[in-house]
Amino acid sequence: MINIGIFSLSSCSGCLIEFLNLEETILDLLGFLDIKEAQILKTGTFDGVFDMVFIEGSPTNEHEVEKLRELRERSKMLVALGTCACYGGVQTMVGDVGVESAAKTQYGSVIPLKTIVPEGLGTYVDVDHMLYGCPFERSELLELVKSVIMKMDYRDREHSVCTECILRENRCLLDKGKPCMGPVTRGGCDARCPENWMYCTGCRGEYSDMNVESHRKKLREMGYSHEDILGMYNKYYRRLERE
Amino acid sequence: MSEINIPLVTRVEGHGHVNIRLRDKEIEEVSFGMHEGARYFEAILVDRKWSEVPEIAARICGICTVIHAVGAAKAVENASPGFEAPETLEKLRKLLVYSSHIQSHILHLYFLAWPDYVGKESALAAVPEYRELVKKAFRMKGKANEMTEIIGGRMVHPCTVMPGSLTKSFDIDDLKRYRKRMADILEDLRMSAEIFAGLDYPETTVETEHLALHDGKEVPLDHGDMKTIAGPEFQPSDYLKYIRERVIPPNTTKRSYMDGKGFMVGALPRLNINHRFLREEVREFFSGFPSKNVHLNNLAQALESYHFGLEALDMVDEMIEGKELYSPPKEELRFDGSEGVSAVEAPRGILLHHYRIGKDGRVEFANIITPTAFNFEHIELALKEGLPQFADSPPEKIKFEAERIIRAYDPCISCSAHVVKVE
Ligand code: SF4
Ligand code: SF4
Repeated sequence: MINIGIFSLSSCSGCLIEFLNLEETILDLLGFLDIKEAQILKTGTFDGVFDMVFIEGSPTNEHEVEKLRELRERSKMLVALGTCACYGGVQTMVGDVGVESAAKTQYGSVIPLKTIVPEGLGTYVDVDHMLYGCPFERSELLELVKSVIMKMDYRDREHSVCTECILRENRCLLDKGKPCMGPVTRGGCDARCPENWMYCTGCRGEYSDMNVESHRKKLREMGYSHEDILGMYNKYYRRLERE
Repeated sequence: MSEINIPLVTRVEGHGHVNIRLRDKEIEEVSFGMHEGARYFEAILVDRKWSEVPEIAARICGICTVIHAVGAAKAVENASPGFEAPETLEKLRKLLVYSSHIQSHILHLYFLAWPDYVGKESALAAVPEYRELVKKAFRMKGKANEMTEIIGGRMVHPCTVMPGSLTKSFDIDDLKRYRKRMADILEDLRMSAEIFAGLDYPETTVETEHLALHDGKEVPLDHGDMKTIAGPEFQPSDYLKYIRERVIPPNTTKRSYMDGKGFMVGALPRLNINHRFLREEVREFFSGFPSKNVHLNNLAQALESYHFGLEALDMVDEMIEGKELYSPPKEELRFDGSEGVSAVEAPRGILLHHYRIGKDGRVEFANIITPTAFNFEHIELALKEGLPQFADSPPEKIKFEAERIIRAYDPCISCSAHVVKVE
């Protein structure tokens, strides 16, 4: 049996929910996985060593950083579950506003618990695997779990959402004037948004061979301003610095 | 004096804790806190484009993501002068909300609440004895998720919801696929109503008000005025006149009050206020509305799930019969600096989105009040009301009952953008 734990830092819990959305498949997995701790699913905690922990969310305060370090210490394998855990997630947009001023906007004069600008788990600890997406794709979770059970390699996909659109013979949304992030976003979602006639907003983040310069140039030609482009790139995490 | 602490409440969404102080076998003090990290959505949304609002707001919560997206879209529409949502768009969004609520209710009912009623640590631990039932719960949730995906494009964080439109066309085939799934689980939704009507609920009655949407015709989820059981009915845009938020030291936790008191939102308030509009088939399981026993929120969710299933089927049948097709409009929304408010019912109760959008289409101001922020004060009232009867019991029992009260609200702590405790 593989001991697992499922944990959550600052997040929307969407990735936990997506985990539970495996539905009955979870019952099959219970033959191989022993869920030792998962706050949303069961009472009780576990003090031993995990073979595998899944962590969603990103730390937004020092307590969460501590919790993350502690989990790393007693886990043989750490999986970043979803874009928050991989890169920081939508809450990184607070970086543009500044934590102090965000706290004022949100809470008025009383500033709560000292917040830090969120970053991916890799900033603080070693991460063994990343499951990209907001939320991650269940097919990739199953692939990873199977590879661990069967002691096989698991590899990230290094192609764009664009590639998946082409395979599906979708009409290009950039050509239709939409601000699509497909060319600079890691595939693996089967071009989920373009399939639904919605341009990709980049929730799975970057991949190795992307060409940011030509994508930006194209957006500029289409009439998007520098500000617009910064907003598009810096939504799920900070990908472009202000120049 | 002794203390009982629950550092992390389990089987709820997000991070909450409880502190109970006992003296001479009497409960002296109970406090409930939430220690969710702050994600500052209201600040993040400022300067973003109108078209990004549902996408970003959906990320407030992964369980009630659909209603956040729809509520945000509607608030943005209300800030766009002259915009009126076409009927088919409203219907499709309603179908989307129905399936999402059923998903959320089934998750809460079977995976978060029910284990307490059969003495298990989790639904998975109940599998050896209740295999078929747990499988059915997964199946209901799964089908509901598939319906959400048919309209929303994704189960968690739908990608088709835009202010003023859904991004893609829908034809009769899509409606039929939705219909088939709802028909598949209808009998199980009926069974859930029966099961949860048959549970033995503890008694924790809090006498303060309940608040829900009301239109005098149905159990509304996406429109209507705000109404209490006995008191005023008011327009969502007037919320600031009726609802006060307050900070009570030593916490800087914002809590909501009406007439100086905490109030409850959620499935139970919805049915207390709208039970007359429940379907005949559903009403036969329970006739005790209004009730202020917070544990009946579980029952109310089970009744609602069956009710929403029946309503959705009728609506989708009508659409299929009337050959109602949808394709996204060509023109985009316009803005002139106006404000827009929307009040919708999340699975856990009323959810408010409020925006001002400038001429350039960018958000100038955002305020979001989530159901758990509304319920926060009420949860503490319920703990104070419900725990003294167990003051004599061993600490484990007191803890169990405290968690059971909190779970009844199905709190969604990530949602409580507004609620943070100072350490
Ligand atoms: S990656 Fe997205 S879905 Fe997952 S926890 Fe973060 S915000 Fe939620
Ligand atoms: S198309 Fe883009 S935004 Fe949509 S799921 Fe895939 S990576 Fe995420």
